[in-house]
This record gives sequence, C-alpha cells and structure tokens, in this order.
Amino acid sequence: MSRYFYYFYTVGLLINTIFFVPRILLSERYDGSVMAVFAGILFGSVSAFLFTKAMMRFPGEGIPEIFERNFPKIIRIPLLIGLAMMWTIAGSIILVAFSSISIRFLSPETNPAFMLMFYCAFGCYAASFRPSTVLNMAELIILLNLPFVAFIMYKLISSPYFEWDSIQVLADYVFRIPSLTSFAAATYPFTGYISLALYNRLYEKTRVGHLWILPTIGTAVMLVSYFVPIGLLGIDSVDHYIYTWITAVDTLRMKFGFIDRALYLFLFMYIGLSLIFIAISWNVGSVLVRDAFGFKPVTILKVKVPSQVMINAGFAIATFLFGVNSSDKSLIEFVSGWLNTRLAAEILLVIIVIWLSRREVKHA
Amino acid sequence: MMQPSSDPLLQSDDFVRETLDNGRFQIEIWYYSTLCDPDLIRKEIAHPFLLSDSPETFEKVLCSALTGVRITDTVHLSEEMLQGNTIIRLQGADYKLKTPKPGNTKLMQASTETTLQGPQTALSEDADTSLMLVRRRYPQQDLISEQMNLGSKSRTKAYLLYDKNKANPRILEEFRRKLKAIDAEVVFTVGQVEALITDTQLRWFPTMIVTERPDRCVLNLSQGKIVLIVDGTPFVLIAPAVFQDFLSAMDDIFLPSLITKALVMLRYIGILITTTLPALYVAVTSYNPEVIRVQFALSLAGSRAAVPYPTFFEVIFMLFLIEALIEASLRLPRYIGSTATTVGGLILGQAAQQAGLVSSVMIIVTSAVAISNFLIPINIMSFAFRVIKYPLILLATLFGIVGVVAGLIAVCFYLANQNSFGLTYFRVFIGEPAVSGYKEGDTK
Repeated sequence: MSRYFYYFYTVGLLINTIFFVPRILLSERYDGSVMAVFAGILFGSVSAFLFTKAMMRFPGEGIPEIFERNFPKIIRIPLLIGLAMMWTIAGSIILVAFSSISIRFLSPETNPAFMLMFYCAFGCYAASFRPSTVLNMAELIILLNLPFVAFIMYKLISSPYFEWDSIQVLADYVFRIPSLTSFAAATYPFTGYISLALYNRLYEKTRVGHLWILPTIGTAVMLVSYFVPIGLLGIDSVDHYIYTWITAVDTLRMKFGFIDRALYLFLFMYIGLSLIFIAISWNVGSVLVRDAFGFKPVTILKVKVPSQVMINAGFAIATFLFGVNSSDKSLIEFVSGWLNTRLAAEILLVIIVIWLSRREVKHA
Repeated sequence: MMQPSSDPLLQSDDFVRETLDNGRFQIEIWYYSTLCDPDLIRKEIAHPFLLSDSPETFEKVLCSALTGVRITDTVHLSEEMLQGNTIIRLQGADYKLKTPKPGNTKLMQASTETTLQGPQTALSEDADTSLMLVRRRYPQQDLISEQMNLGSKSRTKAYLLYDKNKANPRILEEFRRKLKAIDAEVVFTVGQVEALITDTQLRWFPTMIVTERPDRCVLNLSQGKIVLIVDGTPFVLIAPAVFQDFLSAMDDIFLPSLITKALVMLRYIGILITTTLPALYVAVTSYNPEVIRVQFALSLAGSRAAVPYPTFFEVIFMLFLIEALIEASLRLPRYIGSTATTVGGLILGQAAQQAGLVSSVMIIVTSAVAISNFLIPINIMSFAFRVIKYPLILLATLFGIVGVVAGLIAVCFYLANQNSFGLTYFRVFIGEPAVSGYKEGDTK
C-alpha cells in the first residue's frame, strides 16, 4: 500500500512544478531563486522524511484521531480546520488556474464562468468518494500519464532548440540569498507528503518504505521544472509568459506523432493530473472538516446526503466565487502570499507531529 | 384435506385423481399429468401395486423405491405435486414419489459467448442438467450445491454452487441472505436475480457475470466464486466479479500467453475507442481542429463541407441509426433480420454521406464505434459501454476536449467506487487470479 503515498507525492510534484511555482521562481532568477531551488529540495525532502517517519509511529491513524487523543477541542478544531483549508486552497488554486488554461489553450469560445463551474462540479463529485476510491484513481491516472510525462520531458531536454548556454548564465547567480517567497515556492511541490496526515488511516499494515524515492524524484522534477523553461525560452524572456511551462512545451513538435503539437498531449495529461490533484486535495480537506466536527449525514428531501458532499459543495461554491472574481494577475499575487502562510503552517504541522510521536514513544 | 368442489386443484384439467384397485386393497394417487411421467408412475406405482398382496407389502415396495417418502406434513401436498411428485394415499397415510417428466435437457450450442476452439456446448435450460454438466467438469465432493426456490409464486428451482474450501464464507453468507430476501412473485432469469439482489436501483455496470458457458462456471468455481443456476434458463450467475473479469474470454485460457495479453490489450483499446471516439470527433471538429495535423483537419473540414448541421447532430443521427440497427437485428426473426442489415448497411454506407447528412469521416467513426464495442466478451458489459458515449458526447459539445477527458475520469471514479460483494471492482493492480486461470508457478 505504501506505493499510494508516492503517488500523492508525485502528483503534488508534477502539478505544482507546472503552474505557479516555476513562474514565481523564474521571476526571481537573478535574485537568488537558484539557491531557493536547492534549499527547497533540501528542506522539502528533510521535512517529508521526518514527517513520514513520525507518522509511521501511528499505524492506521490519521491526524484527526491523533489530535483527539492529545489536544482539547479548543485547540484541535482550529488546527484541523487550518490543515483542511491548506489542502482545499491548494486544490482550488489549481482548479482556477487550470480552468483559465483550458479557456486559453483549448476552448477559447467557452464562457469562462461556465468552464469554471464545470471544474467545480467535477471537483465536488470526485472529492466526495471514499478515500480508497480516490487512491485507486490516483494510481490509475498516474500510471497512465507517467510514461507520457517522461516522454515529453525527454523530448524537451533533447530538443535541438534547448540552449544550455542560458542555463550556464545562471551559474553567476547561484550564491545569492533567496527571498522568502521564492523559498516558500520551492518547498511547495514537496507538500504531497502531508496527505499521509489523513491517508495514514489506510496504511495500517504496511509501512512506507523506500524513503530514498522522496529526494530522488523531488530533485529530478524540480530541476527539470526550473531549468527546462530557461533552456527553451531563453534566460531573459522566460518571465514574459503567464503559463511558463505550457509555452515552453509548445515549442515542441512531434514530427511523426498523431498529434504533432506536443502541447496538446501535455494538456490532455495535465487535465487528468489536475483533476486528480483537485480530487485528492478536496477529499482530504472535506474529510478533515467532517472529522473535526464529527458531522453526520444530512437528510434533504428524504435523500440521505453524506456530509462530505455538503462540505465539498461548499468548497466548490467558494472556489467558483473566488475564481470568477480573480484574474491571472490577482491569482498569482494571492498565490505568492498564500505560499508564505502555507510554509509556516507546514512547519508547524511537522513540528507538532514529530513532537506527538516522541511523546507517544515515551508513553509506550 | 381436499375439499372437492372449491379446491383449485380439481379445477385444473391436467390434475389427475385416480383410485386403483387390485382386488385386495385400494390406493388413491394424485398427480399433475403434465408434470409427471406416466411411464414412471406405471413402473413405480401401478405395477408393484398389482403384484402386492397386502397394503403392508405395497408400503414396503413404496418406501424401498428410489424416492418414496412418507409425508407427515399434509399442508404442503399441493406444493409437492407442483414440484413433480405423485402423492399416494394408502390406508389414510400419504406417500410421495418423485416422478417428474424430464424437462428440456437437450444441450445447445453456445450462442452468445462463443469460442473458437473451446468447449462448444452451453449449459442447459434444465437446472439439473446444468448441474450435471458442472459436476462432470468439477468432480469434487467439496463442490456443494444448495437447492432453493426463488419467487413467491414461481418457486423457480435454483442451485447455489460453490467450492466449500475456496469460497469466501462472508460473501457466501451475504449471497445466501440476499437470495432469501428476494420478494418477487416470479423469477425466470439470472439477470433478474442479479437486479433483485443488488441494493441500489440505479445499476449501470454489471457486478456479477451472466454466462452460458459451463467451462467459465467451473473456472470461476475453482477461483472461489459462487455460481447460481436457475431453472428455465441456460444462463448462470457468477459472483463476485470485478471489472477485469468482464474483459476475459474463455479463449484466453487456451491461447498462448502473449497472444492473450495482446487480445486483452486490444479489448481495452476497443473500449477506449467505443466510448470516446464520437465525443472526440465532436470536440476536435467543433472546438480544436488544431489538435490534429493540418492536412487531416482540412480534409475533415472538406468532408463536412456538404453537412449543414453542427457535428453534434451529425453524431447523434449516425449513432441513433447504428444503435437501431443493432437492436433491430437482435429482435427481428432471423428471416427478416437480414433485410434490416442490408437496408441499414446501405444507409450507413454511402447514402447518408451523399445526401449531405453526415461526413464520410463520421461513417468511419460510427463503424469503428460499433465494431470495437463487439470486442467486449461479456454481453452486459458491452451494453454498459454503449451507454457511456452519449454523456461524453454531451460533455464534448459543451466543453470540448476538457469535457471528454473529465467525463472519462468521472466514469472511472464511478467504476472505482463500485464494489462487488465487498471486493474493489476497478483498480489497476486488482490482485485477482489471472483471467486465464493460470497462476504463477502453475506450469512448473
């Protein structure tokens, strides 16, 4: 079962290294974001490692149960809600961003609000399933998409238009102190390991093994994510684009492919990956909210509606309202601010869990 | 016990009530002439009766006969007779003797689930004959058959079959409980049983296999599954079943393993084509012609030049025709059936395109959809996949390619959330015994 842990980690990495993170990092490429990438890899891997080790002291238990034993209600509920919000917002940002990508690159004639509504409805639908269903779907989508992701990454690096010189330019800017925002952005892709906070419930018998995978794929994906757009779009003009990565992939043409613009293959894969990311993050969010308050199913017009559906519908409506009122510019500003908050929240969570696991060992 | 005039038994013309007298004593026999075999009655009752000196000797003969039993419970006499028993009244005591007329025991060729080189006969419509076919292929004392009667009015005979050592006791108990809870008046087919024992009313994908092949029964029994044989239909119900089971044909057992793998992959590709191709056609022609190559996009546009309607109508029009054709060739008598296919073939072929109703690419799409749908070995599953394409077309019309991909993922979510008697229905590494029946190490 421990393979599922890595699926979430991988989804988080693949999704977040495409949307906002490269854009934030690349805009500060001369101001220390190279260092931020390496620091982010180190920090992300270490905290993922520590968190996973700590969670393994609680076999078959999620954060709600662990907190229930250790904290009074007044501390527990805000913590859980905070954690849930962290997840939900992560999903919602991707939802809003991907909805605008769909409008821009796939169906420019569709009404943006209509498209956003469709994504929100899908998120609400997919996130309301049992966690085990979401696990199985994550596996299916990742296994289907990974070969294509690997193929496109390979094509990008081996592209004749890939300028290694642009990357060498960056050597002059390595030893600079990164800003907090770029550091927060560089740690963000690793955040998939936090899913263990809830899905640890499902790993009762198995322990998460092969922890060396965490830094390995993390480093590989982060480096590709940061350097490939520079190599393809040029060191100076790389921050002229809103969706840096999508523009970078659009430089690629597959001469003998059924679809000759690699962009479309890439977008098809990322529809799947984004949707599963939204499903996972809202699923975690809604289950955490449900368990924080202990909500029971509600009966509406004689139909028993699980409280999870209600919570997800709430998420969907909030996301829709947020998405309709945001633009590309306001979204990236929101994300930069949010990333800093999230970094603090993540550090807090990791420290709490490590502290609790130490205490558990002492008591036992 | 029997009130002469008001009893419904006596109102039936095929109900026989005879008094036999051999000069020394008398007996009374009751039976349904249509349900009982007169030869058997003559041989087992009338003949020994003629030779008996006293009631005691005849009683001995009766009880020593194969299935003669003295009945103490006289309330269910009519039910006993309806099961094909003859009731013998001898000096105030009642005996029953099984004298059923042999049903339709003729073995037929498997017609809905054929294989190339596998066993060719299907199960029989007679439950006992079907049970015999299974037992012959699986001569194990652990193979337990539990007889039950389904339906409050039809009392259809059914056998629950399972391998005692292999079947999961929890699933078996659940299956039994659900069968007992069936509340319908008449039960004739296993598909109906499946509907009756499924909790939800909204069923889309089958979670139990319906098959007519004795070899599939036996393979599944040996994998610890439960088989339900129902009298009056050559089909049996196998539970639990997961998604992968529906994509396995019995040919997979005897073909070389690489060919089997290739065939299974072919079926998955078939599913992908039959579900998404029409939706992708709509999405590509109406939203994203730039996805495909320029030359192809141009020839697509060229072939659509004469079509005045949006692609949505074109697709719906053609798919309606092909679905109608499939249904028509299924329902029509065989002699008229060929007319339907000929006429339909003409329309689907050239005429529709020349009339400017659909593009020529759409005809290819339609045929690809129809043909790849037939790749799915189990019938109900291919029906389930026929339905999916319509919501996907709708999503493609509204949202383009995003709608198609998201719709497909939504369907997968639905599938992954299903379960068959507590087993996960759909996931990548299902942990099922290999569909071919071989396990690793079997061949060493």
